[in-house]
Amino acid sequence: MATERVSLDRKQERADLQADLQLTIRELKKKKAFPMRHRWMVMILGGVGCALLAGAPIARAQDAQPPRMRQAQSSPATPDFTGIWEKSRSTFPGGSDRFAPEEPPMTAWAEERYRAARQGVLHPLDQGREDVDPMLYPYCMPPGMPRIHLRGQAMEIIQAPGRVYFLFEAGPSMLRIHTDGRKHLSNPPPSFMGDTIGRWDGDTLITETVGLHDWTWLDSAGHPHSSALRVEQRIRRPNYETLEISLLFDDPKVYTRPWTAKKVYRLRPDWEVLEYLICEDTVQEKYTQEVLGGSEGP
Amino acid sequence: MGKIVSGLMLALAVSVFSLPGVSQAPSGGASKGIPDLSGVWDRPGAGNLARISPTGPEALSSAGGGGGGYSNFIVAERPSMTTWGKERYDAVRVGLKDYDDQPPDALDHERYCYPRGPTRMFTGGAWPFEIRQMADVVFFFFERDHWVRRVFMDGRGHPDGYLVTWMGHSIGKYEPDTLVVDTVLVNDITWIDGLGHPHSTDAQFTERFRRSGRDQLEYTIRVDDPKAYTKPWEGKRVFEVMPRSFEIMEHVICEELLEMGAPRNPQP
Repeated sequence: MATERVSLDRKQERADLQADLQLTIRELKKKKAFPMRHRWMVMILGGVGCALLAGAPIARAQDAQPPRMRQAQSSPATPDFTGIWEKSRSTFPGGSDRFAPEEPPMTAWAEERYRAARQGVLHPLDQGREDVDPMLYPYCMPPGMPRIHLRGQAMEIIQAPGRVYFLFEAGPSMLRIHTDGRKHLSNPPPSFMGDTIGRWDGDTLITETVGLHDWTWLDSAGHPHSSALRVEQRIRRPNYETLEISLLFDDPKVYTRPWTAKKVYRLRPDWEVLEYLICEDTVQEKYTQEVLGGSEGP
Repeated sequence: MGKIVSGLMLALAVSVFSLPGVSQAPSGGASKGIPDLSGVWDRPGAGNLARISPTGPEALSSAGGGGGGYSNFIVAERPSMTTWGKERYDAVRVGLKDYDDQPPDALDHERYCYPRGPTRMFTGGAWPFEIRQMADVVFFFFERDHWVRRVFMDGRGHPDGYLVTWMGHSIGKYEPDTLVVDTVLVNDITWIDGLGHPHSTDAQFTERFRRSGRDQLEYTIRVDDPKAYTKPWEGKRVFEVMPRSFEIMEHVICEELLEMGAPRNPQP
């Protein structure tokens, strides 16, 4: 069965990756490890301390509270970005399809690819050609990173120890940001959302994404990118209702210099994240006709 | 000075021992009525099929893994279907002889790039998932097509007039050692399991998650769908905790079927 084949492929890929991950984790632990000569003392004192503090109010409070609140207590300086966010209206014409009002500094190769993706497009602010857009039928790929930031659907952020999750309604897609100090995988398999690490710097979360497929467009206008694309995000919450994401795109194979953009999101506390499937209305209707014979259920 | 050093070390030691997520073993939340189910779970070596319990319905109430028998999704007895349910079931099992046979790919909704649906994520083939327990929501993050299930834990009910969706609407509550999830309004194109058991949009799924051992997660499901089945039925599966270095990866459904990744673009 094809499903099984995919599973087996994934298992092999996973097995290769786990070895890589184990190395990364080991490096991390080594970096954080106490000198062995002090460990016994720490353990003894820790044991005594834990016994003495077994009934302490803080410990009891942490146990009684849900994980989200525990996290907030354990790192009080960490900004809270949790919530459901909607991308704000663009500040320049065509901004729903591209990151910057001016053209990014493309290499000759990129110029050629960009022209091909826009051949026959009448207005300079329109999207790229639909028949070669990787997100549209028959390709139906996820928007991927960073194009996901141009989608109009909701984005939910949740924070956990060592992780921040960006859950995008479109796709659906997920950006996992490792904030536990690890490095990138040494050879991450290409993926649509990439391999992302991050760190907190005051009120800002700084992230770096690599390991992206070169199949996707960088934006809806048709700007290309290579698998060497590195996306940096600087995310901060200037006020309760606003989330600012400053982006930097660094792809020397495609752009002659790094270039930047900014997206602003507005908090939507009364929203729920729903489902938005790419190509749901085109590819998948075949099943209803071919297998179910048009049946709509009882 | 010595007291200061000792104090610092004591504080350091306490903080080290209280670091969140040092192990994926239970962290003691169960004593407060919130079982700690967080972590990445998988069923290595599991098949893609559902099985009839060899020992009948009583097997579902036993605590153990039955010698590995629960690597597959186990149902106590064959679900008793209504005429509508049987028609749907038979439509995707053309030419199959045995109950355990998997429907052909050509009739599987997944091959048409439909999502797997909420229950088949657990009852179907071997793909890992992550559980994250937040204050008001429990998240299931699935590697399979990077889906997310949200279980609202804030006491709300199922809203009137809510949409029928691929993952449905889920609410939950904690029992002493169990997360109980109630899901309705699931798109009826999805199957309950890998055998093609159908359901209607009126189906109600009650899923229960609990740690049946230090490294085991027991999943049980009760299917209540009078339009598809003459009586409710139940199934069970056991998952294993994965090491902390085990990461959920990215899978995109139909990546291999559509023209995704076709070398259409020359590279720089």
